Amino acid sequence: MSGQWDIEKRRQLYIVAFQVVAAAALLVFVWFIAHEKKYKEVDVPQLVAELSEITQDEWHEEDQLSLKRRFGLAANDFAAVGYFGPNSNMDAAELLLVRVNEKSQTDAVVEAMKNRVAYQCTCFDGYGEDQMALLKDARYVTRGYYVFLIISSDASSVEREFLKQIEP
Amino acid sequence: MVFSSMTYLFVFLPMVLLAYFIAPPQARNMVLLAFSLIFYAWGEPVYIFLMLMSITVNYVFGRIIANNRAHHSRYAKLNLGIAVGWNLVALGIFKYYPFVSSQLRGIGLGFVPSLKLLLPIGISFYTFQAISYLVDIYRNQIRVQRGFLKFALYISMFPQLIAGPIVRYEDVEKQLSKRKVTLAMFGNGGEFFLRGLIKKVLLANQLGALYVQIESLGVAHTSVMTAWLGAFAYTFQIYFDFSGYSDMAIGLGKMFGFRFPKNFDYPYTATSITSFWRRWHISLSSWFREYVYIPLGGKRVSPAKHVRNILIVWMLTGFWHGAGWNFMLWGLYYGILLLLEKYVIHDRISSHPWPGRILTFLLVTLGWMFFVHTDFSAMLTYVGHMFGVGCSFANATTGYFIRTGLFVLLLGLFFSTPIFHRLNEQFAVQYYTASIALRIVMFMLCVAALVYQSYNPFLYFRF
Repeated sequence: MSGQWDIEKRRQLYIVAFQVVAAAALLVFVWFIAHEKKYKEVDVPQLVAELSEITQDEWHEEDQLSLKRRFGLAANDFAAVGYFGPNSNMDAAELLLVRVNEKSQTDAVVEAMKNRVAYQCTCFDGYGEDQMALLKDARYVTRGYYVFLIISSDASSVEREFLKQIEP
Repeated sequence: MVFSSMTYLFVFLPMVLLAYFIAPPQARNMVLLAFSLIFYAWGEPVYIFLMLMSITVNYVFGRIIANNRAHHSRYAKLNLGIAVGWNLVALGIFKYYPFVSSQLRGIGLGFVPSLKLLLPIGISFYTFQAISYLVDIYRNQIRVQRGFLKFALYISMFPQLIAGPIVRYEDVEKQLSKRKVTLAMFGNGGEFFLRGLIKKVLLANQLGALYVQIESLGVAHTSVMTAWLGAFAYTFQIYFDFSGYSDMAIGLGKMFGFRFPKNFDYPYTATSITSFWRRWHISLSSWFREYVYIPLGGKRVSPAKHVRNILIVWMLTGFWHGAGWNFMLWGLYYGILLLLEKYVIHDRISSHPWPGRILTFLLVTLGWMFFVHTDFSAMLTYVGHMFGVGCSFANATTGYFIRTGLFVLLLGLFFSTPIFHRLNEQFAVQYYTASIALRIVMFMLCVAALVYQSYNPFLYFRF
């Protein structure tokens, strides 16, 4: 009788131990996710506006419709988007910064950016020497949840400043 | 990973099918589980640990509840409470904590920590499946699953993992142990999958592009008619997007020998709001009815309590869709509409099918505008435009959108009724070879559209 009672007691202890472990595991996981090294969460449109002032490139802030038309991307699908496009058809400078919701979106965004640059190359190839130089120097910077396209006369400075701003 | 992506269609799917059918029957669950975990880990590998934790916790609690329900029912109930609590806490932390903390900080409670957590994809779906499993065991409606791999497969099965349907354990219990895929079933599954792909790629994405264009118009260019065109575009987009995903999930399930429940039944042909919710996201409505509404007393209570029950269920339904006031408002909107139908209008509208159908469709369309706008001021502006606040009835832009968007909207209207389904079935019977050729052409059109389009996730992935 006492042996059976012991077994029952031990079984209940195991269950309590499991309940504690389950709760602790969840808390540890949340703590881990919350304290994982992350790049700073910045105001994306504002950062892009600031970065656009680094150079004298001819560009201006664009709306969601232009983003959809030129890149095939819908701003609502992402955590945040900042986009500066060329002032005229004869300009090539562009800045597009996207903070994705999950990392699986990164490849699709980079692909869309590459398609845009390839399309622009077909437009300027053969006569727009300066524009082609900018496009050939296009940079695709991915850090954490950020994906950044830089087509600029001083892409290095823009990239450097961007990385400085998002450093944890 | 998205079903409507080249990686999925031309790499993942062929690999999983090949591995599944090469493997001996006893290893097929293992193959499906392995691929399901790869599928889930594709986007955000770290959250695979949360899902594995959920599988383990629910598996063990399921066994504890089953072992105690007969002789120690209070102890079983206590463990059911702890297990359901664990699931809700996990869901609450990842889905709602960032919203709740930002609201609390917004009203001056700056000491509330703001954790930056991303929403694990599919958490709302697999958590609800797990809760239904535990409750059904406690109610003695199902037998506990003793095989860990089978239970893990039930929770993580990739076809319906990310956006449903929410499959109850009793629906797949037998199939987890023994299932047979006939050529006819496989072909039927492929047909469902293709139908879903067409809905998503050829209809939803085009309608979505139209909505984005209209939504991003400035006040100077918009009008009442344009705003309604945009709202109709979104109404059809969300239907084809979500029902397309469900069709693909059901089709994939069939290809692996599973029969998942139907999730949509031509909701835009409903003659009342009650009927709409019997046809839209059926698995979610059934879940709330079974595990919230009926336990609260359903309609077998006093009218005051019935009103309370309906409002609770619809607030929760709204909140399930996302952590935002707009979702609460959307849920409340349906709660109020349903109460009006039950207590004021009764069946005066549904007994007149066409007026009922049109009114229901317009109310649902308006509801989607609460749903899609997470920003209240944008929502008020857009809904205001639909009713002529601050804009004209029509303008030149309206003409442009009628010329460019009317065709795709009419396609949306046509394909959201059962007419096409009936015609398609007749065509397949009368012209078998031509119907096969047509399907191949449609698949190639989808692939061509996918090559051209960039990133188009399913809307319901966000929930």
